[in-house]
Amino acid sequence: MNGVFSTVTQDNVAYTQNSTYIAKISVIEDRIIISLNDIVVFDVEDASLTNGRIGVYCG
Amino acid sequence: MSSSGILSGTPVLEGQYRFKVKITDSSPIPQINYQDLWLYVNANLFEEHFSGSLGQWTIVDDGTETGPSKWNITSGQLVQSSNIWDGISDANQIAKLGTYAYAGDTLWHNYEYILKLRSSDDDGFGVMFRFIDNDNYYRFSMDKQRAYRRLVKK
Repeated sequence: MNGVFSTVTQDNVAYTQNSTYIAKISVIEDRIIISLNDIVVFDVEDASLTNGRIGVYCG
Repeated sequence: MSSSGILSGTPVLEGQYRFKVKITDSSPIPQINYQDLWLYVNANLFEEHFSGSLGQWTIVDDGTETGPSKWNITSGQLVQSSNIWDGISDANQIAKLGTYAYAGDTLWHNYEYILKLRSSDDDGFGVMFRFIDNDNYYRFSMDKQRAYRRLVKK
């Protein structure tokens, strides 16, 4: 928040190179659900940010 | 409503709709009960098929190594082909700055964001959401080389 990174949650699973993933991010109030190919990866509650745009990232 | 009590139709406006159902039995002194039903209709806020320009998207490079980014549209896909990064390979350093493209409205609140992702490289990539500005956002990323999936907030 406000320029400082922090981890909400993580695991140690690597992706498969050149595979296509259908990602779905659901944000409902303070609940964040992230699914890949219809399998829930993360289901967490965090109320730090309540609204905002979408984006894609490489790094 | 049909004779069997099925209420059907296609909603055309977003919003919250309340239906109040009255239930009366057939006894000589009828017993009456009420039940509220709510229907939530969501709008399609944004749809992108990547034909033509990147007009709705804003590109930001915050990685300092091997830039700049190379975003372009190829065969209906948004492709980033540069190896831009921040030069810090330690998996535990969570900033992992590189490049990103964002679109939409800062007022978007509750939503589902669905897209297809693919990487021909082994570095980190992913999505951002509830993005306000470069200092305030969530980012979900996956990294093959460093073997993690991670949700961070900034």
